[in-house]
Amino acid sequence: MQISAKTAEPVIQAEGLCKSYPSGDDRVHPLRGVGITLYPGQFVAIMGPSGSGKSTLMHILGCLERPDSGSYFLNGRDTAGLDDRALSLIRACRIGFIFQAYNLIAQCTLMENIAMPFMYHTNPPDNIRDRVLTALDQVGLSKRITHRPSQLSGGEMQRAAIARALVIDPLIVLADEPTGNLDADNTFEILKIFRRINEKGTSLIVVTHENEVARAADEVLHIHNGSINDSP
Amino acid sequence: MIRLDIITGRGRDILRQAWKALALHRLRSFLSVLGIVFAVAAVVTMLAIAEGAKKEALEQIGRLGIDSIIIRRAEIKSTEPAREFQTAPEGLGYRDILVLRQVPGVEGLTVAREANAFLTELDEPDVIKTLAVDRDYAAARGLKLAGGRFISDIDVHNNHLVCVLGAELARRIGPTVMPGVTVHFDGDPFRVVGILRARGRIDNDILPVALHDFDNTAFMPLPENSRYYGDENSGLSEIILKISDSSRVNVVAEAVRHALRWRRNGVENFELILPRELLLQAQRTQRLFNIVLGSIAGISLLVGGIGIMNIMLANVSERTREIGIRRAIGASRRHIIIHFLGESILLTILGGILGIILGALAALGVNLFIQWRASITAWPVLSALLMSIAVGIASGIYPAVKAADMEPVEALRHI
Repeated sequence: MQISAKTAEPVIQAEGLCKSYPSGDDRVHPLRGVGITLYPGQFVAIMGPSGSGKSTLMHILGCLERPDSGSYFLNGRDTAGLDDRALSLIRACRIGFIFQAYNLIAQCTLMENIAMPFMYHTNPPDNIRDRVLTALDQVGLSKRITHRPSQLSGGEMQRAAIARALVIDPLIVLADEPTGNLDADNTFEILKIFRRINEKGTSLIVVTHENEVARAADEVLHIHNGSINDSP
Repeated sequence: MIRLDIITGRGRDILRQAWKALALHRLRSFLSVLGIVFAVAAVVTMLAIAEGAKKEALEQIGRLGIDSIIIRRAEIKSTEPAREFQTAPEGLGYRDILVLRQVPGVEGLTVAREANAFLTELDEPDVIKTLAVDRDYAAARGLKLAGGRFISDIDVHNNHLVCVLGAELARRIGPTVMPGVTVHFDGDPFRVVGILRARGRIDNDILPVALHDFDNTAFMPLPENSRYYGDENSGLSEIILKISDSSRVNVVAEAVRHALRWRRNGVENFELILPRELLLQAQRTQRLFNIVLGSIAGISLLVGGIGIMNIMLANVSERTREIGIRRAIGASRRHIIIHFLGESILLTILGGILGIILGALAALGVNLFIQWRASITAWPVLSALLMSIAVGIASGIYPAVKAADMEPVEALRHI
C-alpha cells in the first residue's frame, strides 16, 4: 500500500513482505505480503492488535531481520543482497531505533550510551561529543551526561533513547511502542519531541496502541493478521 | 578494518566498555581469573628457580674451566681383574704428568694434592682441608684474591712455608688474620701471603661431581723437588689439563684416558671430568626440565582457561539483551566478537599481570627464605603474558562467536 504520492524518491519502498516462524510443529505468519512506501519527512503510525505483525514489520524495515520473500528498498538501495556487515552499517548510520523498554546499556553513562552508534561507524565524525550534547539538548538531558540509566526516570530514559536515535542524524526513526511504559505527561513530552524532529525533515514510523500518538502522525496504517488495511 | 579499530579511538572505546562490563561484577571477574593468576604465578616462580639453577650450574661449570680436563684419583672398580690392579699404580703421580704432557692437544697442566691439617688459630681448633698446589692452580680454577698474592714459583721451588686462605676460613680465624701473619698447621708455622675472595655457596646437587669448597680451604706450595709430588706413582689428588682447542676436548680426553689406562695395565683407577660435557649435560637437563614445566604450565592454564570460558558463557547469557541492543544500533557480528573477545583477553591479561607479580614475590621469597637462587628474566614474564593472551583468545572465542551468532531480534526479546 502506498501512503501518499510525493515527488521525491521514497525513503522506504517495500512490497510483498512475507515472514513466518516455526512454532512447534506449525508455522506462524506475522507478515503476509505487506507493502509500504514512505517518503522523506513523513510521520506514519502503525496500529494493530498484539501479534498482528507490527514489530516484525519494524524489524524488517530496520534491517534487523530479513523477509522470507518480497522486496525492500531503503533510500533506493535493495537490501536483499546485503551482508551482515552492510546491514549493520545501515543500522549504525541511517536508522534510529526507539524501543518500548528504552534499551539503554546499564553500565554505560548517558554520554557513552548516546555516542555508542558511532563505535560502529566506519568513518565516525570528529565532533562526536558535540553531536551527543546537541542530541541530549534536543531532549532536555544535556546536564545528565555522566548519569547512568539507573539514575534516570522512565521518561528520561526514553528521551535518552530518542537522543541515541537522533545523534546519527538518521534517514528514518523507527519507534516500537515508545510511550508504552510512560504516563500521560511523559507521553506528551515524547510526542512533542517527535513532532519537532519530524518538522526538521526526519521520517518517522511509530508502532503504537495509543490513539493519542496515532493522532500526532501524518497517516495511520492498521495491520491485521500480517496485512495492512486502510481502516481499523 | 576491525583489526585497525583496536588501535584507533574506537578500539579504545571497545576496550573501555569491556573494562566497564568486567568492573560491573568485580568479585566474579576476580574469582574467574584466579586460575590464570595461580597458573602464571607457578610458571613464573618455577622458571625463576630453573633459571637460577641454570645460572648457578653454568657458573660452577665455568669455574671448572670449559677448556680443561680434570683428572682425579678414584677407587679401583671391583670388576677389575685382581692381577692387574695388584701391579697398577695407585692414585696420580709424577709419572702420569710426564705421560700427559706428551698427549697431543694438552697445552699445559696444573696439579693439587689434598690433605687434612689441624689449624690451631681457629676459635675452636679444627681439622681443615688443605690443597698443595703450584702457581697455575689459581688461574685454572678461577680463584680471585681479596688481598696479598697466590702461591708463586719461588714458594714452590724453595718449599716455603706459606699459605693462602679461603675467604670463609680467614673469617673463622678472625679479623686479625691478614697477609704477613703466621698460622699453624699441624703445629708448623705458615706465613699467610694471601686471602681469597669468597666463591659463594657450593651446591653439590647441581653438578654430578664433587666440588672443592675453596672458601674453607688453605692453599700451600706443592714442592717440585725430589719428592716428585709425593712419590713417582701417587701423591696427587688432582691434575688439571688445559686443552689448546676446547672443541676437541672429547678427542683429547679419550687420548688421556688411553694413556693413563696404558700406564695402569688397563686399570681405570681415575676419573675424568669434562666441564664442557657437564655443560652440555646441564643444558640437556634444563631442556627436559623446561618441557616438564611447560606441560605443568599448560595444564594449569588449560584449567584457568576453562574457568574463563565458563564465566564468559555466563556473561553472554546474562547480556543477551545488551547484544540485541548493540546489534540494533549498528554492531556487526564482528563487533560483537571483538567486544566479548576483548573482555576475555582483558580478563586474562589482568590475571597474567597479577600472576607475574605473585610469581615474582614467590621467587623473592624462595631467594630470601629457602636460600635457593631464583632469577627472573624478561622471557618468562613476556611468555607468561603472551600465554595469558593466548588463553584469553582460546577461551573467549567460543563465547564471543556464540554471542555474535544470536539473532538480533531474538536477543532483543530476551528479558
